[in-house]
Amino acid sequence: MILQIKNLFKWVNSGGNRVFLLNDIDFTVNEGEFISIMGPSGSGKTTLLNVIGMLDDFNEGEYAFLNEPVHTLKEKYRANLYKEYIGFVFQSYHLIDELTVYENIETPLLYKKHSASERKALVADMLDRFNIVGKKDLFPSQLSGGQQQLVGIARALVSSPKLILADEPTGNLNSTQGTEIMELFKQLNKEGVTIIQVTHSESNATYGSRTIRLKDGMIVNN
Amino acid sequence: MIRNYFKIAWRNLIKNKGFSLINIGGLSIGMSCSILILLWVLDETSYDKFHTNANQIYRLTVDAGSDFKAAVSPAGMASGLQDIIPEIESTMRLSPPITALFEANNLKFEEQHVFCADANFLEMFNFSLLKGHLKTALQNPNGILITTTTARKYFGSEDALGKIIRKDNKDTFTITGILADTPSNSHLQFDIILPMSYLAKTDKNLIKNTWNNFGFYSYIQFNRGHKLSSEARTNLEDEINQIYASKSPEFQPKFQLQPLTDIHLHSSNLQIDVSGHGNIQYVNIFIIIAFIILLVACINFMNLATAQSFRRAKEVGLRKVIGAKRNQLIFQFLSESILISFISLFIAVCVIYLVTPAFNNLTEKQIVFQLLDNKIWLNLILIGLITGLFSGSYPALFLSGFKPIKAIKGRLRSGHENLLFRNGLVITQFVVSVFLLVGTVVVYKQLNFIKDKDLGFDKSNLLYIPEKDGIYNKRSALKTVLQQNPLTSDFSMVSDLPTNLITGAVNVEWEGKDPNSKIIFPRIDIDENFTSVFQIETLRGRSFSKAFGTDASNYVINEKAMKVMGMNLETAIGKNISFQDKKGTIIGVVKDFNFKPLQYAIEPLILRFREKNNIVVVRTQPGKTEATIKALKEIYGNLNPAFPFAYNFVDKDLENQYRGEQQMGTVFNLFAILAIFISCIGLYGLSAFIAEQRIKEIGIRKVLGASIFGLVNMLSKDFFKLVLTALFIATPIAWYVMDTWLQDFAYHINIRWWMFALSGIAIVVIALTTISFQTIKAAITNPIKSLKTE
Repeated sequence: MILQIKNLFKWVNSGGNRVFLLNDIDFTVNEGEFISIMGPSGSGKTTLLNVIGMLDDFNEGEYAFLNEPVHTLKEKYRANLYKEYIGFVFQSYHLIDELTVYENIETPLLYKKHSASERKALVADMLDRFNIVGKKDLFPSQLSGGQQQLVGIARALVSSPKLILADEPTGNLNSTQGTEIMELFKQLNKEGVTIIQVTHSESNATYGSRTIRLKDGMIVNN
Repeated sequence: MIRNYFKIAWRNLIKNKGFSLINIGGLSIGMSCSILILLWVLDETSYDKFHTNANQIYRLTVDAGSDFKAAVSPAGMASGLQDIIPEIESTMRLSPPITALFEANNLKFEEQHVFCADANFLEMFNFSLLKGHLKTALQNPNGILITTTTARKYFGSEDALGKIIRKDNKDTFTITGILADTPSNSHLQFDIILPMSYLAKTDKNLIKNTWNNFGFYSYIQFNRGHKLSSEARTNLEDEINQIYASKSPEFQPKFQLQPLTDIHLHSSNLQIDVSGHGNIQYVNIFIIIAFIILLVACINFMNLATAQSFRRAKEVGLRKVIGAKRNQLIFQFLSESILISFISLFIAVCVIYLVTPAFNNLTEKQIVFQLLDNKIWLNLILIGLITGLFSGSYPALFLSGFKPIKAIKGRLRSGHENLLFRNGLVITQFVVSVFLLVGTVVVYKQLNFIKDKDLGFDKSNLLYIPEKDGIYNKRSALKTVLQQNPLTSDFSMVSDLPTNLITGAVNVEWEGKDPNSKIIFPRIDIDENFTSVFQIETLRGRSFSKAFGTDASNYVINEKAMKVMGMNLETAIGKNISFQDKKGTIIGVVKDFNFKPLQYAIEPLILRFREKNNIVVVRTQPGKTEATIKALKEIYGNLNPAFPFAYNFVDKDLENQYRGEQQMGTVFNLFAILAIFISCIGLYGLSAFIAEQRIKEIGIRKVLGASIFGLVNMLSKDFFKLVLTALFIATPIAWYVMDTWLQDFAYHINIRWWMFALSGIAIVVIALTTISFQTIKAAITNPIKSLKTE
C-alpha cells in the first residue's frame, strides 16, 4: 500500500458559504497500480492530485503516505516526503526555460546531493531510455510538445520515485504524441512504477488499471 | 551546483538584456562612486600615521578664550614642560612657514614651504632621510635639509649633499641631508628645513625661551608604553595649565594636547596653523554619501528583481516541486545577485582606473588605485559581497517563499505587501535624491554668498607684493618711487593683509575694562593710505594722516572694538586706550570689515600707525593691471635686483581660503547628480516593467476610448504620489543637516522655502520625464497588439 485517504474534506469559504472542493474522499492506492482520475471540469481532479502530491493541503480527514500520517506532519517533513518519493508530470510540461534538456533532467539530482558522476550516469540513462540523447543540449523552446513532455517525464523519473502523479499529461499534445506518452506510462507501470493520472479522455483512462470518477468533489464510483 | 546557479544567472542576464543593463549600469556607477569616495576617505584618515611614534606624539594647542584657538605655543614652553613632566620623552618645535629666497648653483627660487625645526626633528618624525646623518643634520646652525625635488631643482642630477645654498642673499648653508619628498599624507608639507639654532641667532623669543609670545608649533612625544587615555590626557593638560599659570599669572589660556594623527582632520577651528588641513565634517559627509549612493544602486536592483518576480515564479515553483529546499533557492538567488554585483565591481574597477586622474585633479589628491594591494583587494571583494548579499536578500527571501502550486499556475500576482515594499524603496531613493539636490542648492548658494559677500572693503583690483627681506632698508625709497608713477600711486603699506589675519594681543586696556576680561584684539599696522586704498568707510573721526603729524600714538578702531570697549560713536573719539602697554588716543572708528575667513565673526580690531610696513598693496586702475605689474617689476628690479619679483591678488587669496569648501561643493554636486541619475535609471526600469504589466489593461482602456494623455496620466499618477511623499520626508532632514553645516560659518545664508520648492519641482520633472518614455510608449501602442499578447 502506497497511500490511503480516509474521509478527506477540502473546502473554501465563499460569501459565508462553505464550498467543498473535495468531499469525503476515501480510497487506497497499492503499489504497482495505474489509476486514472476522471470527471468533468471543476470536479476536483487536479485538487485531489495536488493533495496526494502534498502540494496542497486539506481541511479534514486522514491521509497516510507510506504509512506516514501526512495530516500530522510538519510542512518541512512533508516536503521532504514528496521530494523523496513522488515525481510530477504536468499538462504544460513546466520545464525550466533557461535550462537545456540535459540540465532540466539533472536538476532534481542536484537537489538530492548526488555526486557529479552519479548524476552524469543517471541523466545519460534517462536520455538513452527516452531516445533524446541527440536533443540533450537543446532548450525547451526548441522542442515539440511531445518531446517536451518526454523530458518532463524523464525529469520526474530520474530520481526513481515510487509514485508518479500526472496531471493531464497528454492534454497539450496531438493524438499520436498522446498515444506515445500513454504507451510510455504503461511501460513504466509494467516496470513497477505506481502512476496516478488525471485525464479527460476515456481512451487514456483505459491504459490504467482502475478509474476513479469524481463529480463536485465526491467520488461517484471507484 | 553553484556552477548550475551561475549558469542560470548568466542566461537570465542575457535574456533580460534591458534590465541587466540597468542593474549592472546602476551598480557599477554606484560602486565606482563609493569606492572613489572611500579611497579619498582612506587617504584623508591616513595622515601622519606613517610616523612610528604617531600615537605618542601630540601638538600643543591653545584656547585663548573668546573663540580664539590657535595651533601655536610659546618658544620656551615645550622644553620647559619637559623639565617638569617626567612622562614627556622629547619635545620639538617648528617655526611657522617661512617664505625666503634661496640661491645655489646660480639658480634663484622663492621657496614657500620652509620651516625651522629643532635638531631632533628627524628623530621624532619619520621623514625618510636619503642622505646625511639623522642625528647631526640639524645640529649646526648652518646645516640645511632639502627634499629630493628641491635638490633636483637647484643641482640637477648632481649630488647635492655638502653643497652650499644661500638664503636671502646673505646667509649661507651647507646641505647636510637630503630628504625624500614629503608624503602627501603628512600635515607638514615642506621643501626645506632649517635648523632652529639658525633662527635662534636673531629671534628674541628663542634666545630668552619666552613663555608669553605664541609663535611656534610645539610637538611633545610621551614615553613609549605610556598609553594616553582621554583621562590621562586631561590630567596632563591640567598639569600643563597649572605650570603655565605659575609662569604667567596675568594671562591664563587653556592648553590642549592634540594627537598628531588628529591634526589633519581636527584643526579647522585652529588659527595660525599650517595650511592644507582637511575637515572631519567633510570626511563624515562623504562617508555617508558613499554609503547612500551604494544604497540607491542596491535599491534599484532589489526593486527590479522584486518587480520581475512573477517572471521567475514558475521557475521557483518548479524547482520546489522537483525537490529544491527553500534555503537552496535563497542560495541560488543570492549567488545570482552576487554574480551581478561582481560583474559591476569589475566594471567599476575599470572605471576607477580611468577616472582617478580626473578625480585627483578635482580633489587635489594623489590617490593611487593599487589593485595589487592586499587591503584594497580585500575591501573590494567585501564591497562586492556585501552589495550582492544586501541587494539580493529581499528578492531571494521573497521569491523563495512562493507556494509551488500557485507559482506554477501563474496565479501569482504581486501582492500588496510586495507593492508596499517596492514603493518604500522608491520613496527612499527619492528622499535621497531630494536631500542631495537641496544640499547642492544650499552649498551652491552659500559658496556664492561667500564669494560675493561685502567684506567691508573693495577686494577687486588689489594687487600686493609680499614681504621682501631685501627691500626692508629701502622702504622709503620704494615709497617715493611708487608715489611718482601714476599707475602705482594708489598704494598702501601694511603689516598684514585683511584676508587671514593672525595677529592678536590681550593686553589692551581701556577705561572701565573688566579686569578679568581676556578679549583678543587683532591688530594691523597701516599707513595713511590704508582706508582709501582698501576703500574702508570711516564712521567717525579720521584715519591716519600726514597732515596731523603725531599719529604715532593714535589708534583707529573698528566698530566691534568700539562696542567691546563699551563706547559709541559719540563718545569713542578722543578716548585714551593702551595697546600692548603703549598709551594712545582713539582718533577714528572704521566700519567693520572682515579680516579673517568668513567662518569667523568680525573681532575687535586695532589699527596702528606705522609709516613703513612690509607689504605693499596697490589698487590698480581698471584695465591697467598688466601695465601696473610691469611698472612694479621695474621699480622692484631697480631697487633690489637680487630678488625675483612676485605679486599676488587679494581677491585670489580670498578665494583660495575657501578652496576646501569649493572642492567639497564640486564633489558634492557631482555625486548628487550621479545619485539622482542612478535613481532615475531604476525608475526607468520600474516604469518599463509596470507599463508592461498593465499592457492589457491599457489596451482595453484604449479600445473603450481612453485618450493617450489620459493613459499617460494614469500611469504617471502613482509615481507622482511617491515622489511627493519623498519630498515631504526629505524636507525636514535636508533642512536640519544643511542648517548644521551652515552654522559653521559666522556669515551664512538662511535656508529658504524656495530651495525646497525648486528641488521638489526638479525632482518631479526629472522623475516624470524618466517614466514618460515608457508610459507614452505604452499609451500609443496599437491595442490590437497588446490584447493579442494574452
